[in-house]
Amino acid sequence: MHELGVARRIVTRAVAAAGAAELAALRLRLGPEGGFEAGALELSLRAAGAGTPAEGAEIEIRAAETGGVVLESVVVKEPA
Amino acid sequence: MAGRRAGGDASAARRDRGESAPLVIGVGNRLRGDDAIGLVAAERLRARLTGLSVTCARFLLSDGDSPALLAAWEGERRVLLLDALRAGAAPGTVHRVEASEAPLAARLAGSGASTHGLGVAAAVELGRALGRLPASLVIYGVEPAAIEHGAPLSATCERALEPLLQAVEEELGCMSSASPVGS
Repeated sequence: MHELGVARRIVTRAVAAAGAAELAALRLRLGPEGGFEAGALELSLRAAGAGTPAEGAEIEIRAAETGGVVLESVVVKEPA
Repeated sequence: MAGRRAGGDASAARRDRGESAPLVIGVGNRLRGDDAIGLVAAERLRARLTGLSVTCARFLLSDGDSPALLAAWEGERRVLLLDALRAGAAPGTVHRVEASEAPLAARLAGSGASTHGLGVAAAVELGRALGRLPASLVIYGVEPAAIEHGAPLSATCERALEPLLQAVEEELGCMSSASPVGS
């Protein structure tokens, strides 16, 4: 499934960017050239994140007028 | 396959609006280690997207000369520029900067930032001052590990290529069949 494939790529990169930390939030931008709905992307990101440090992370998807999918930032959890 | 369909949708919609595909500019110096990463990334992306039945992007390679860059993006609506970029992060870090929205931060525009003099930053700020920036100009910059003369791309920057290419593909709305989707 296309959304899930993209979601897996994004989660893998976000987890790598965060190092060993757990993720608090993923912030993305989705434009019309992404080719899918924000809801489907969010569900796919949650599915792709299960069992990874991104599990349970807040997912924010902002609508954009142009372009495809952009992972804008990754927020890591503060150590307890 | 699904990736081709998504790319096709994006390209078809663009065609309907009478727009050409985004321009991807790879900037760098092939003889200076990680300074080559923008060129290498653009070439690999072009190779990856060549198999698709639609045109996701047009490609140009540049040595970072400011007047040439200004001429290259003249009349373009959407430009993605791939480059080496020093911003003080760990080597291999991929930065994404929306140059069309706000002036480049001082840390990016300063003399230490661009790995080929002031070419890219100067072109961006000159373009802004002259009203000659594309509506959307996004710079993807990879933090270099080493830019010694005659050196090959470092292993660190070689590893950064795949995440960089994935991010650019996703922003273009074009997934190559070469990328490890769903693996």
